[in-house]
Amino acid sequence: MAAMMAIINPGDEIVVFEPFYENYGPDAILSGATPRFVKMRPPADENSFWSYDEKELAAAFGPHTKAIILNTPNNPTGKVFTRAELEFIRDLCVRWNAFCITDEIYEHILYDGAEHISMARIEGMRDRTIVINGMSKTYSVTGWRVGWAIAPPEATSAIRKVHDFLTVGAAAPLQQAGAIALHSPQSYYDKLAASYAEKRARLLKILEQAGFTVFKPRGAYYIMTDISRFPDPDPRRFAAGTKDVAFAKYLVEEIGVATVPGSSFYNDPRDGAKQVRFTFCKKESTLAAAEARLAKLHA
Amino acid sequence: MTATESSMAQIARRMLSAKAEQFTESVIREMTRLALKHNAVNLSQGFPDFAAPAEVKEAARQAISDDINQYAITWGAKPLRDAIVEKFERTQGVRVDPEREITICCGSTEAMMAAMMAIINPGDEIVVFEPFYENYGPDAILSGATPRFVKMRPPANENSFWSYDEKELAAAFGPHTKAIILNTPNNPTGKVFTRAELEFIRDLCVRWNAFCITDEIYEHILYDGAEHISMARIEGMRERTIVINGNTPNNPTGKVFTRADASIPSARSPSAAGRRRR
Repeated sequence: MAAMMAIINPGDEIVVFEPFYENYGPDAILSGATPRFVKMRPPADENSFWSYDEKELAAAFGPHTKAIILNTPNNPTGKVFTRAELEFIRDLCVRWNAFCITDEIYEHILYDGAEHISMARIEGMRDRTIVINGMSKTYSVTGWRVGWAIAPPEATSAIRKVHDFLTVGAAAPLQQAGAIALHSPQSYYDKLAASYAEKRARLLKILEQAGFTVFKPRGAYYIMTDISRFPDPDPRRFAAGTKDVAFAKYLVEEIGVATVPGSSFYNDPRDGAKQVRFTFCKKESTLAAAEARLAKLHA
Repeated sequence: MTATESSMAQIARRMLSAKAEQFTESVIREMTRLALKHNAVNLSQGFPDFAAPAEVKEAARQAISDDINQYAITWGAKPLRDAIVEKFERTQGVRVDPEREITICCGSTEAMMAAMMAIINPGDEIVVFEPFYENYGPDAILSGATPRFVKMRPPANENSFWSYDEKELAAAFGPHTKAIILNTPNNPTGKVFTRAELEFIRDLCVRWNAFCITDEIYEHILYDGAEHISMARIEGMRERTIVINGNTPNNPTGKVFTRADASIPSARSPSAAGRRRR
């Protein structure tokens, strides 16, 4: 939010991939930016990944573009942007003189040999990139609220001013702990990724058995699913808007498993009407309980 | 710096927000950085250099050990909201609803900013007493409000207090007034607003249909028998008042907390504004 408030002027546009982490919507509204959405399409088969159309992305940029918001590894899709994709985005940022605000909070949660490449590392982007990161996901302390922005000095000076008046500062004792945490040995990160890989495999199996079409993530700790195979929940009891919302309500009330309806990741709720997001950053007993409950579902 | 880097820096500068250009980083907090740099005795920024209460530190250690390390719910942990309800009723006699009227924020600074962003629309004005705690300036700029300043004058002698002209205050209100920002006990003057002053402000808020955002972070730091009266307690203001504070859960020893800028503040408000802010 501080980064957005530091760079946005009235009339500015930001480019946002869809589905997107829901915060980016209010971030845009509160900072006064107009979002331009670019659709990512679910993988067609097991060997492909979420993808977007390069022409559509290029068309979303223009003279009013102030920044593109990137999130890699991606929430909710688990997409990890490749070097080629980042270079294509770089070319658009340079052409339209835009920033890239890149949310890299899941940088250490990667699978199947996927590599996290920060946009700041792409040639020509060092001075255009605002990296957003934090302790929440890497050190499993989402309640501490310690995050950071890495940006060129001029942008940093604006971000610091906004941050100063938004909060004065992040909790001091927790920042101290952060300094220790970031010195964790490589083995810590390897173990983190390995542990999440097991949990991913576990939840993928649970969801497939329960009848969901799953999109296997390459990073982060979410699984986007397609719920087309399930019948619509009873409209007399779950009348809410799109099917994903009704289905998520049915899941939490009747089956006893809480998920996030896909429409919350889209500008137009209808675009997410067939999707539901699950997270697997949970201990085995929690996943086992979910397995038992989801077994009651019949596709 | 190479020529390319320098021109990139210029590009970056042109690309920044005009709002952020309108204010500098906190002068108060800059003085602390200068104090550190020059090894000066730091009487600038309002934070204690003595120990925080042992019970509070122990409670924080215990919470971390007990793995209360993940997201609290958005408007704050239930025990803290309940403690705020209990304390506000005990100290000010006003009962608020923990489910609909309290939001725990990351510092009272964020509570103030969230409150402003929740109520301000383009064209809205806010009334601010001067001298004012410097945050209220950027709060206004970032939320898009136009501040109207009302001067407080230093006491003429030992027996008088900082005061303002009632006519000037009345003239600062108008059809575009969305809120008045009050800070009592006041930083930097130490003024504690009296019931008569609060009632005069209440009449203006009612007349112009305005909120009162009242920053009461120093409520327990009073001298010479001064009494802190929350605006929320003034008749007719319960539904127009957003209280900003930084209390901690029940202090078993009853000690006054020593943190001037507490990290667990709360905003209490009429429920409609409470819902918008969340």
